[in-house]
Amino acid sequence: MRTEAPWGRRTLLAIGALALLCVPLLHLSDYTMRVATMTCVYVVAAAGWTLIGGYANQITLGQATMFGIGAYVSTMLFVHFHVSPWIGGPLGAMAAALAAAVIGLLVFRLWGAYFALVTLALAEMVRILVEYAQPITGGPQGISVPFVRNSLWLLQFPEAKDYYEIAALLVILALALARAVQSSPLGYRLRAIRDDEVAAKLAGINVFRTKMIAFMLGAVLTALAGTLYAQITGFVDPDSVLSITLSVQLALYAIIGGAQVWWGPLAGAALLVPLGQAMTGSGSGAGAGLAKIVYGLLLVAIVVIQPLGIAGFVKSLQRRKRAAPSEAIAP
Amino acid sequence: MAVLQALVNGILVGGVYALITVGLTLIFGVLEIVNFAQGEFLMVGMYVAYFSYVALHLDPMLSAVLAFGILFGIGAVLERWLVRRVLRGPEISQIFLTVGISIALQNAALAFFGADFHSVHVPYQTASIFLGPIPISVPYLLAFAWGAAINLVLYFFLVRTDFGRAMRAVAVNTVAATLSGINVSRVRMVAFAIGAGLAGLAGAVILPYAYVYPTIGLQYVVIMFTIAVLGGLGNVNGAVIGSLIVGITQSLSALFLPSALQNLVVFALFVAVLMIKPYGLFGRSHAH
Repeated sequence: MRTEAPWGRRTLLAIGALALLCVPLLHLSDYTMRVATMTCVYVVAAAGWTLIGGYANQITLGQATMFGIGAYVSTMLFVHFHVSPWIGGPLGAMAAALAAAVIGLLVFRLWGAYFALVTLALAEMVRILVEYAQPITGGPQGISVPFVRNSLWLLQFPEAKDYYEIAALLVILALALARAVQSSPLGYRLRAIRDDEVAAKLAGINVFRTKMIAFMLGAVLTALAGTLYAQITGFVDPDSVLSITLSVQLALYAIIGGAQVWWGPLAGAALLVPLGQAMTGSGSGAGAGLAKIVYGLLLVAIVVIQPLGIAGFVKSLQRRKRAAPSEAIAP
Repeated sequence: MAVLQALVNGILVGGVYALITVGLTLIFGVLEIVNFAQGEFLMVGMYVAYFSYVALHLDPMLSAVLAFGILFGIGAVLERWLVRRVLRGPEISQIFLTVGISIALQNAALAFFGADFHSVHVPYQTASIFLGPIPISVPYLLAFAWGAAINLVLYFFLVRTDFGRAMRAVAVNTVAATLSGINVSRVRMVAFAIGAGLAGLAGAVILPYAYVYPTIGLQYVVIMFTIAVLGGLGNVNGAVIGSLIVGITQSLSALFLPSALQNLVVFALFVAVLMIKPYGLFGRSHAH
């Protein structure tokens, strides 16, 4: 076992969190702050995928369902009953956790590719139902969040950048949770399941319960990101919050960053969201196409060369550095 | 009467689904990976047929052969350079390699061909023939015929030819196949190429009654997975039965459900079957 100075590391993390909160002091352009805010949203959403997909290797292709539930529940409560997103968001998160419980009940028995495919099919079922329930959800055309006034209580601000502090706080909370889980007994159980589910079961781990806790926690994180997304964009439709494309995108951020570590979603989204925005921002639909080609090729390259993502590269770099002095001593 | 009509439509659609799905099933049977790019191979096949029509006035029923050839080549190259490298890798690589390929293909189509919907005009587009009192749409019938022909050819290929037998041997037991002198990596490459080629062929064949656009693959891919899993991933005959079940379920449920909810019934059936039989109707359990 490697010993580390926990206080030194914690200080470093605290400084990092503080730096994240202080970004607006740099007086960056509105555009940059908008991208930074959206990046935060996707970091939180992808962290939700990491808990179940990365930590436990239960590769779900339906995480958009949780994002969509968060976005739709808070938006519908706001539109139909004037409930503040500060209440609607947590209610959406609870609804997502409930959905995760039902989905988990159905899919945790399944293995590998079957698991991925059924989560995909269930997510499509949710999308079909939301599109069909037009009177309350707005159907395929989606639903707008009417702008009432600039108000913290209504979580409504005129510009995307005004949401930055809240988004950054949510990132800190989400990553703190992901990090806490990683080093907790729950994290050890999840890793045991990832490495060998049968062995984990034989070692006395309640596999079903462990997966369920991780899946529900992840659902809560992704749903909260969904609520924030709805508030920032002021508009929710099935294509943007319930699609297969979004499910894949969230997994992609986590995998490229490193699905097995808490900071993977941060690294992945911080790299890819600005890249995507920059290429899309250049105007035509072709730009969006080109950006996503890069996503696809990066994903291909990562899974072939280093399935542990950026975190895997960092790890092998560290190992090489640590190995170097002993090589120097050896004849 | 309406029920009979729906049943006939269901069988026609099911036959087409069998054509679309059989490649996916073949790839899973031999390589044990789910090809998430199968919908995009279909999309590329549709574009091949579309451009053959625009440039050469080739009927999609004929350019289907061309689409098969092109996708066969693409499949062979992808297997040789990429798929092969993740077959022994972690599950996450096996799933997300083809997801990555599908994202790249989809967006390459978007960047080069634009987001517009395209279709072809063939003389038989709106024609139908009558089976007694029941009208049968000619484009569907032709696609169904292609589907039936391909499934027969594939069946004889797998059962009667040496290479087909080798393919089945690899599907059942890779180690034993290697020991009996089968070139396993070549078999895998050809299986992946045939699977991709069949998706391309299917794309061309459905073009007379479908629009092509960059994300059309997403429309078909979940249905494809549903059928392949219902029939047991890797089981080619099971996929045909799964296709007919899904086709008939869709058209019968259209009688009493709004069309927006058609696929809901199919997916519910899919989830229900897997709850009872976790490896599909005719699937075998794959050792971990």
